[in-house]
Amino acid sequence: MRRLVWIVLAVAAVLPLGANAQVSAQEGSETTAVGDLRVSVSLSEVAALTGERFTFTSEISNKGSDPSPALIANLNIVSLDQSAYIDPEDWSPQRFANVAPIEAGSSAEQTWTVNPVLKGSVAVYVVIVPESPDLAKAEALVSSSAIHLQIGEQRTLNPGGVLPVVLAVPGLLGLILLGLVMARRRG
Amino acid sequence: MTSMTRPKRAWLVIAGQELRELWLSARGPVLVLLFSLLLSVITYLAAADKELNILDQRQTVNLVLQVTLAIGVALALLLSADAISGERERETLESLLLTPIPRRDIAIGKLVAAFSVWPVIILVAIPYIWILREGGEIFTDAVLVAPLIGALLVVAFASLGLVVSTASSSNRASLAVSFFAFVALMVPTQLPLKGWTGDALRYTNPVTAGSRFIEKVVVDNHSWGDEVSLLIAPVLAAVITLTAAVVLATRLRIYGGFGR
Amino acid sequence: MTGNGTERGQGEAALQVRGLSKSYGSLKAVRDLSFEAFRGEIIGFLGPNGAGKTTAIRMLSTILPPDAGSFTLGGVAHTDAIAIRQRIGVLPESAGYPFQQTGDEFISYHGRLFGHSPARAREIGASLLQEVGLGERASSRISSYSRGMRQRLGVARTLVNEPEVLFLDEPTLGLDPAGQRQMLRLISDIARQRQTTVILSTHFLDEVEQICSRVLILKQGEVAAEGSIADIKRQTAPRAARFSVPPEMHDEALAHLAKAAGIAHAAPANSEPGSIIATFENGWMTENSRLGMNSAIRALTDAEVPILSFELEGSRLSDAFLSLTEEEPQ
Repeated sequence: MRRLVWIVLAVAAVLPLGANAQVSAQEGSETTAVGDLRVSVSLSEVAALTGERFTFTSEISNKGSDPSPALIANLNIVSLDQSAYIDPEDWSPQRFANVAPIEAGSSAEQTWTVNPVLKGSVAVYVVIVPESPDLAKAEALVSSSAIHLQIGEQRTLNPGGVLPVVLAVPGLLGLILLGLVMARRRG
Repeated sequence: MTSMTRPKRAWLVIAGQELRELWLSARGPVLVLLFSLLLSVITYLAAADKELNILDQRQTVNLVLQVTLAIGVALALLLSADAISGERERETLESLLLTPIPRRDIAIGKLVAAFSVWPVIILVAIPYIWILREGGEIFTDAVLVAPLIGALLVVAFASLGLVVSTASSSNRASLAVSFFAFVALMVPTQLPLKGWTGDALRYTNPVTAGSRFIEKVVVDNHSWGDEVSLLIAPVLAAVITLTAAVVLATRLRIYGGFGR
Repeated sequence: MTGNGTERGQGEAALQVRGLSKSYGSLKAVRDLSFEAFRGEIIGFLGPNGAGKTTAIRMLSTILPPDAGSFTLGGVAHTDAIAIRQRIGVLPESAGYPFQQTGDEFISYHGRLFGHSPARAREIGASLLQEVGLGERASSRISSYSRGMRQRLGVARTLVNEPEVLFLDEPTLGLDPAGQRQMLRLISDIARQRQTTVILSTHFLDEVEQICSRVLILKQGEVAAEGSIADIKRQTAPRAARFSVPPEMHDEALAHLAKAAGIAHAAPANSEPGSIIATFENGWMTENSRLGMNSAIRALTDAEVPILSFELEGSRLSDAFLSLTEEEPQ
């Protein structure tokens, strides 16, 4: 009886480890750790004027020995000089990209479009977030280096060519009004 | 010998005089000039935003149309809200009531003058829509849908203003009530209307329905047939208020209210 | 302007009013108003504020529906409001004018409202403005018109449809004496030349005496008196007589008057020597009528006291008005 108890205790002690090992083994065997992923961007420095769109690509490489989990690549935009409030929706129509699991040793590319709407010094970078919440909170996320944007203000007095109309219509109406007033005074 | 005649189309005589007073004096042209200045500022800023791609082309045109609609309706409403109660306050109503003209014709003549604001306003807006368009399709949609919706809402609000003006003993009360009604019906256009209550409000409020119709056609490029249900409220509002204004005008009295 | 206006016309009445009444809640503004008016007559509507004059005119001009009673105007029943309006001209007490219009634009517009063609309306307008003395200011804006000019413009407007009956509510209000005189002359001419019946509502009794042939005195919505001016005056007998005698005979005149038949007492009228007021005994003038004051006159003439002037007090329309309405006339 005493021997049976020891066997049961030994199995109970080993079982969780075994289970963990099994999970780890599962994870270890099915997906690579987020830390084995690398993100790079195709640009490092961009000088542009407001309204001048540009595109760049990000590449996620799997340096691990297992396929990566399903990922979300998120585009972040930060003002470096706090000169203006950045509303990401104004700067890019695409806020994130879903990335399918990447085979070990392979990579996946995403293309991003950025539309600078305010002048100033801005950093743009891509961060990878596993779709699985457990994986997302398990370890630090992976980010690319930042693309430094130096945005100058595009000054145009005639955006979209509207200036002639916005001046001419009230001008013409003003002349008509003046004519009416003078006619009434004379009358 | 006493003149036993009265004008065959008395409303036309009244309308002619009202139109002359509105458009050949400084009053109407000043309002239209102020509207064009506002539209110039909005168009310029919207074009600048479009350059920055904050707004796209359709959104820009829609913005100009919505502002045009709001201003046109407001002007027509304020003109008609002054039509009867203003005459009462200026003590010119009695001499009008002493003519052999049916009361209904007085109302119709005044309404015609209030309605006249809309074609002028939309005509002024056309160059702005033209310059903001980048393609014929948007311009065509805009200049077809906006005048229709605006006409329905102008008829509805001008008629409402006339009813209030007929009933009010003071011009201040008439303008205040009319302006409040305008604001109350305009505010929901700025709110996110969600759920069944939002839908109910969207479809029953002629302003939200009309505004949304313009947005759906111009911004989302829907066909008119897709959104025809949004036309029900503006059409009903126009018919009901116009009928009320003309019928209640027969009870027009020197004092406010609808007497015998 | 002479005498007491146009004589009463012949034939059917231009305006027949029977039992017209109007209440505002519990306030009876007009009660059982009945009268007739004939072509070319100028009838004065008199009464203190709140007597019902304006309400009566508004009922007769179809602005307000009566609560009871009826009237016919030119043979048309009051229920046919449009036909009534075709036959009348009205100058309301508080008439406003569109200041941005010129005089001729204003008259022409109303001519159009009464069915005239644009050309005919302009023609009538020019003629009417000439008639009321505004011919030279026809193309000026109403905002530049004086009060008197606006009143004349209002009168011109009432004539665009050549009315059978004209209602003028306080047409001389706010005018200076010269303006009042002009206005009354104009009204008189209209009645005489056009044979238009004029109902003149006014506070000013001297206007009524100048141009009206008959008077209706209203008090609290009811007719207090109706008739010719002479009839109205007769309804109240004179209360006293005012004499003016040479200053050195003042005391002697006082003594003789005090003893005259029918004189209750005689006293100085004011501090001026020679000015005496002799009060009649109650009922003396009513019983003795025109001969009532002969005793006072005889008392002075028999004493060889020269009578420089005398005047019966209480023989004026204002006195009759006062006694009938117990209100202060203007």
